[in-house]
Amino acid sequence: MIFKFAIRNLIRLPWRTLLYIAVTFGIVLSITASLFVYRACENTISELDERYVFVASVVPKGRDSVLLSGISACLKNTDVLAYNITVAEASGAIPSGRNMTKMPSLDDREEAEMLWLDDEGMPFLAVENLSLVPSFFDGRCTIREGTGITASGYSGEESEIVIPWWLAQKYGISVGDTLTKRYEYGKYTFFEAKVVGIYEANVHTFAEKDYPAYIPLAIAEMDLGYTIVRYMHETIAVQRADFVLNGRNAFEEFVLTAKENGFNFQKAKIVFNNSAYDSLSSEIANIHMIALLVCIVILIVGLGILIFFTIYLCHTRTKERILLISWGMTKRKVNSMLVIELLIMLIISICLGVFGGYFAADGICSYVNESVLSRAEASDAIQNEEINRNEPLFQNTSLEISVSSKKEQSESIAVNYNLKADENEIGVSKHTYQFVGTELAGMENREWIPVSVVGVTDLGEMNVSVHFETFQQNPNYRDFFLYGYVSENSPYAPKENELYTTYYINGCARDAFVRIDGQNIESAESLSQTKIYIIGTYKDTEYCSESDILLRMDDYHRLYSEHSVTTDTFYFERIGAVYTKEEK
Amino acid sequence: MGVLQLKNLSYDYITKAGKVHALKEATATFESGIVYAIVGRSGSGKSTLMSLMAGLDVPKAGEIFYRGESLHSLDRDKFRREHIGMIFQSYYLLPQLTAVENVELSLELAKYRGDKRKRAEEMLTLVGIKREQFKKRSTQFSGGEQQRIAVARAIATNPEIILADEPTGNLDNENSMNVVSILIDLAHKYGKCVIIITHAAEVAERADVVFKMDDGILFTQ
Repeated sequence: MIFKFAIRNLIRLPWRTLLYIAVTFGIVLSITASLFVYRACENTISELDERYVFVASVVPKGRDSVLLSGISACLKNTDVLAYNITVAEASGAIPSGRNMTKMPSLDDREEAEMLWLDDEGMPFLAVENLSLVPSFFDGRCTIREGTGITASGYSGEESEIVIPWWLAQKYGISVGDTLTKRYEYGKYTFFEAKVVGIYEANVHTFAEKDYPAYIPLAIAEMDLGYTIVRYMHETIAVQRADFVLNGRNAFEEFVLTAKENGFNFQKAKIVFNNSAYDSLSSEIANIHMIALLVCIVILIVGLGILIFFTIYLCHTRTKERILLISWGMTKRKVNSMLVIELLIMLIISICLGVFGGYFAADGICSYVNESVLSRAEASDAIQNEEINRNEPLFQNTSLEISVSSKKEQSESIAVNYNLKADENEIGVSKHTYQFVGTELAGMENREWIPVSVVGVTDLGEMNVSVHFETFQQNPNYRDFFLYGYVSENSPYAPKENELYTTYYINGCARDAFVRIDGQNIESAESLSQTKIYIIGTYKDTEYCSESDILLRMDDYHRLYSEHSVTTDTFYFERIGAVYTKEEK
Repeated sequence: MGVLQLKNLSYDYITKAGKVHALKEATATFESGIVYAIVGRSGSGKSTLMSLMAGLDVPKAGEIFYRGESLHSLDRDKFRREHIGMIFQSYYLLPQLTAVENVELSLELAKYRGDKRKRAEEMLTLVGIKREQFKKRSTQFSGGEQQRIAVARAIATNPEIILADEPTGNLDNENSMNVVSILIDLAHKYGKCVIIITHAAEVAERADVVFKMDDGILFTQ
C-alpha cells in the first residue's frame, strides 16, 4: 500500500518529481563523467607512455668529452632498455656498433645449464653484411653451414647469429639452434639469437677462440643496455650516448642523479628525445586534474544541494504528513512512504546520470584521444622503426656543407635515414650520419666535405648519365683508379665540357670508425692520396642521396681492402670525405 | 457512560517564556447524537484538547476514556483510524488526489472492507458534492467545497466521534452555515458525537451543548 501511495504521489506531482530527478541527474552525471574522464586520462597516460620510446641523449659540447663511466654512474640498470654509444676517437675505443653488443648465452637446447658465451672471452661483432668483413671478403673465412648475415635478410623479429666452427663443435651447436640470453628485468625477458650460419677459418691466424661470432647490426643496436655497467670503471670518452629509458620518470631520475653526482653540464648536455611527449602528457595531466577537481567540487557542492533540496522537499510535505497521521496512518508508514519516493527518484536519476555520464565522458575522451593521442601517433614510428630509435636528435637535421675552402657556396643536405642496403649493396650507415653530424658541428672552416661513398652491385641498373662501360673505352681510363658517380644535383658533378672531376678520399672522419682496440691504422695523409674520379651523375634513388658517391662494388671493395685495417675485429663502416686536388 | 469521557485532563509544555499550562484538569463527558461546541479565545487550549481527544498526543495527567476504556490501553492510531473523524480549519486535503481519492484514501487506511469507491461517492454526495466533480483535484474546489469534502472524508469510515477544529474558520457565512448544518445532521440524523471547536458565536449557538475554555480550564456554559 505504501509503495502504491509513493508511486501515485510521484506521478501526481510530476514537476516536483522531475525537478528532483533533474537536479540529482545533473549532479550524478557530472560526477560520473568526471570520474570516467579521470580514469580514461590515467589509461591515456599509460597508453601514451607505451607509444613513446624515451631516449636520453648525452651530447658533449664542442670538443669536450664525457667519460662513459660518468654517465653510467647516473643510470640504473633497470631503467636502461637499450643504448647506443658512439665512442669518441681515442686509443682503446671500440666502434659504436660493437659497444652495443652483448653476447647471448647458449641455451644448449633446453638443458638446465646456461652457458654464457661472453665468459668464453670470444670476440663478438655486429655487422650489416658479413661478406664485406675483410676476413670473409678476402677468403680467409668461409661459411661452412647455413648463411651469412645481411641487413636486408634480418627480419627484425628474431636475431641471427653466425658462430665460429670451434664454438659449434664445443657445444654441439647446429644451424637452426637458438642461443638465448636471459635478462632479469623489463619486458625483454629473453634475447634470442638463431644460429643461421657456422663459419670456419681456412688459415688460422689467431687462436681459435679469438674468432668472433657475428650478429646483425640492427640487433646490436636493440640489445639491452645493462651491459653499460661493464664500462663503469673504464675511461672511455663518449662522442654521443643515447639511452632508451624505461619511461619518462627514468629520464628525470637520470638528470637528477647526474646533478647529484656532479655531472658536468658545462661539458655536455642531456637531452630528452621527445618534447612532444611532455607537451601531450602535460595536456592529459591538465585534463586529469580538471576532472578530479570537477569531481571533488561537484561532490561537495552537489551533495550540499541535494541534501538541502531533499530536506526542503520533506519540509513541504509536513502538512501532508500530519494529515496522514491524523487519518490514522502510523508515523513509521508515513516516513517509509516518503523514503520510498526519494529512493525511487534517486535510483532513476543515478541510473540516468551514470548512463549519461558514461556517454558524456566518452565524448570528452574521444576528444582527448583525437586531440592528444592522434598526435602521439607520429611517435609510433619511433617504436616501429629502429632507425628512429637511434637518431632521436638527428631526425630532420640538416648538415651544413661548405664547398671548397673558398666557401663559394654552401648548402644543407637533409639527412636521409631511410637508406637501406640490399644484398651486396651498401647503404649509408646511420652511424655515419650521426657521426658526421656530430663531427661537423662548429667546424665550419674544414675544407673537406662529408660525402658517403656507396657501392652498388650494378651501376648499369642505375640511371646514370655516363655508363661505366662507355667510360672504360676512354683512352684516359686506368683500371687501378676508382670511378664514381654523384647525384645530378651535386655540386661535384662534372661540368658539361669536363670528362670527369677528381676528388680525394680524406681519412679524417674515417679514422674514427676504423681505429680499433688500440691499433694504429694508416694515417689520414696516406688515405688522402686515394683519388676518386667522378665520371657521371645518377638520378636520386631511394638508396642514394645527394651526399653519396656511387662506386662499383668491385671498386668499393678495393677501396676498403687497400685502406682498412685487416684484423678480425674490424668493424665495417663506410664513410669518406672528398676534397678537390687543386685545393689540397 | 458517554462515548468519550475526559477525567482531570491536564497538559503543559515548555516554551522560552516558561512552562505553559495548556489544560488544567479538564473533565467532561461527550454523548452520541449530540453536537458539542467548545468555544474560547485563541490560546485558551482548545486545539490542545482536540489533539488529546484524537489521540494525537498524550495528556500529562488525567485520562481519556473511549466507551469506558482508557486510551492508554488502546492503539491510538487504530482508535483514530476507526473511531475518529477529524476536520480542520485549513481543509487539509491531499492536493495530488481527486476529491473521491481523498475520501477513498481514509477508507484504505481504515481497511474498509466494502466497495471503497462507492462509499466515497456516497459520502461526497451526502455533503453535496456533485458527481461530475468527483474526479477533480481537491485544489480545484472552492474553500466551502473543500471543507465539505473534508467532512465527507472524516465521516467515510463511519466514526462515532467527529472532531472539527474551527471548521468554518476560513469560510464565508453561507458556506459556514452549510458545513455546520452537515455536522448537525451527522449528530442528529446519524447519531454521531460531533465536537466542534470554534470561536464563532453563530456556530456555537447551533450546538446542543457549549463548553467554554479559558486559560486551560474547561467548563460548561
